[in-house]
Amino acid sequence: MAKPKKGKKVNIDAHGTILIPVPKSIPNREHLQRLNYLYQLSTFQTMEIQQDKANSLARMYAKNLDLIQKKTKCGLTPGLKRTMCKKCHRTLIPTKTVKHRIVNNSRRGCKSNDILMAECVCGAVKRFPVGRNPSYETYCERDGNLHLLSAGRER
Amino acid sequence: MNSLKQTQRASAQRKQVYKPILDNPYTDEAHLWPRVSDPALVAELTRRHVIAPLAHARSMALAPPLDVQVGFNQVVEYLETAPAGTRALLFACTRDGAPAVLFAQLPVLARVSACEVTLVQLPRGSNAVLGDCCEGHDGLLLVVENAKLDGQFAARLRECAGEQNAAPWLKFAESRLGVLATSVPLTKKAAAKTGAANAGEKASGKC
Repeated sequence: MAKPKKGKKVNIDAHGTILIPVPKSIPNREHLQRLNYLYQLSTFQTMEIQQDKANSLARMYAKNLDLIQKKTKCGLTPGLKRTMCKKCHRTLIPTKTVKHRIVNNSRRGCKSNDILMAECVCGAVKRFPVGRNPSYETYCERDGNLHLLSAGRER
Repeated sequence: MNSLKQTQRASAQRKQVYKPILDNPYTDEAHLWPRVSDPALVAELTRRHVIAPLAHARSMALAPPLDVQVGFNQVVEYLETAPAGTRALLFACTRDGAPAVLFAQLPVLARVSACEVTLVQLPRGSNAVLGDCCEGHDGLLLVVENAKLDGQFAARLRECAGEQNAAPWLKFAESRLGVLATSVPLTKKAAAKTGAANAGEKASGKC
């Protein structure tokens, strides 16, 4: 860590965390843009190309996305990751590649045991316990954590 | 003698960092739920033409006067199997603390469905109102547009509900890049330096 400059005040919050202002540019912007392009290609292929039942090309794009994301250590929001199958790398589009249902296997049918199941055509299932805490938000969705930088600012 | 606040400042344990992150290009508000131009009017129209008749029929133990699908499973099943050419109004209480993952699927489903669906976001507090006319609704109510539903009401609602982008995947969307604020632990050495710097500032009266 760089040594703090003399006379420069270091902001520390009540939890003992040194606060730093939000950066004005994004490192590795090219990698993120490449990932974005691959994701949109994959979605387009899944939506529009009806002949390819196995979604081969779309899956290849999504797999590349996954590999590049891991290699470059770029982050993806949970909202994006939820639209991709971890097993077959399909983009999850309702009626085309995924089926959503709320199931409740509890004996009393208690609302708090509701589980949203997203079943991909490959058989992989994502389970979201939506009944347990309906107001649950991921870390990204909570206020003040994610700072989206517009196109003008990021250049 | 140091105050508690001074002690906390002197013992910085973590440092804030910002990690670059890519958001879903299709979760933009323009791409998801269309913005309602007049929420009060939409709420009133819905209450008068949909909720009140259904609540009345329920209280009298009669069959519902409209063709409705209630709850997530029924709505999704209908949209998946709906015949082409039909029209429907999908009311959703997205602002009543409902799980975001539940509602994130519906705009895409409405687009790929064979029937023409108008998405209508209800204002905050509508979840309890929907509870008056149906049980187990999950904040979702789909009304099929047929002879049982007032045509003028449907047309007016469609005007207020706003237009949905038909196929956002046909046009390249700009990447939604951002930074995620998180923190990393400081090494003991760095923490000591920060503490010393703060203590020095305090002593010289700069803070």
